[in-house]
Amino acid sequence: MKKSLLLFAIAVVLTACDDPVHDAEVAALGPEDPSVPPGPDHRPGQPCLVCHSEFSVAGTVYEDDLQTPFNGATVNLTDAVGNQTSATTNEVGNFWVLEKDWKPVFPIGTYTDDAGNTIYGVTVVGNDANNTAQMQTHIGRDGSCATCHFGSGPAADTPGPVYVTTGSP
Amino acid sequence: MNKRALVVVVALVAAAVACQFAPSDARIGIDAPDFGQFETGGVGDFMDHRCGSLDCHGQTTRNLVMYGCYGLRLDPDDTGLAPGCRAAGGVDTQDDEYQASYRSLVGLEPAVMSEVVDNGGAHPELLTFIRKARGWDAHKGGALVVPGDDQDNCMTSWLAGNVNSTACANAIAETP
Repeated sequence: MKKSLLLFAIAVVLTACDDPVHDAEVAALGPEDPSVPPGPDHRPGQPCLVCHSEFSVAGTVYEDDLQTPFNGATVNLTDAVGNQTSATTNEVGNFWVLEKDWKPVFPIGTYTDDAGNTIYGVTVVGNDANNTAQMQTHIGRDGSCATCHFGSGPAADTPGPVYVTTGSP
Repeated sequence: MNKRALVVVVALVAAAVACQFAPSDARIGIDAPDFGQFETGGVGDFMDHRCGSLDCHGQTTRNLVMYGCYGLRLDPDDTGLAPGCRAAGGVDTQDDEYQASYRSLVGLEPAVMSEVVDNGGAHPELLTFIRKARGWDAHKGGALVVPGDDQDNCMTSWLAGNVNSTACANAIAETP
């Protein structure tokens, strides 16, 4: 009887920890690419924060063919109260910001400052400082770029991947 | 009881029971706030702008789904490389998108919506979308509006039947 109670208690605890919605989100990402070990280069183009709760913002930047990773792009971020940070993309186009370093106040969007200047919440600078990509709409709550930016191009429910036009270095 | 009487009794009971249930295709009406004010008074534009980003209510999986040029489109051809009312490439919110957003919003709580509208917009907080926007109910997007500010006035004036278009325009201008 005691054994049964113990098993019952364990089962209750294990079941209580289940989050079927999150489990489904993780499952939808599919398996790892066997040729890429888990780490900074894995799963480009996927919604990083589904698993990486230690990130506040993370994503992948491509060149304007929407397929070639943009290595070395700078992603500048400004949150709703003006706090700023930036990150640089790696060889597969991935970038990330740790929540312990920058915890944004949402929405991350476009503002006009007191001097009348337009401040973009997200600006991506490639290898030409005069040719940047600026996010026109805002991020309401989700720091994974790929929650909205996915697929092979614009569609009804996505603007397509984040990209910056390659230009003269 | 003879056989004929029994049949009559059974038929009467069956008829009575049949009337206790609504038909499966029954519809209820909604005393809804005005669609014209939603489309042209700025309510739809404000809510698309504020609530309809693709990571929030610009998703078809949400109970409240907002369509428009700030996020989710009905027609993929309306999406530019940089969608958004302020960006090149996208087109403004279309009539069918206003319709879809309106139906999604009005149909969320039809009985409560009718009650609020029938009472001239009194106690808009009966509606979940108002409580969530104010942060009074759990809302992943947080408390976005304060009772009496332009954003709140935009929505509540519409529920009251006299949309404050200035408040809606200001609400768009004041928020990212």
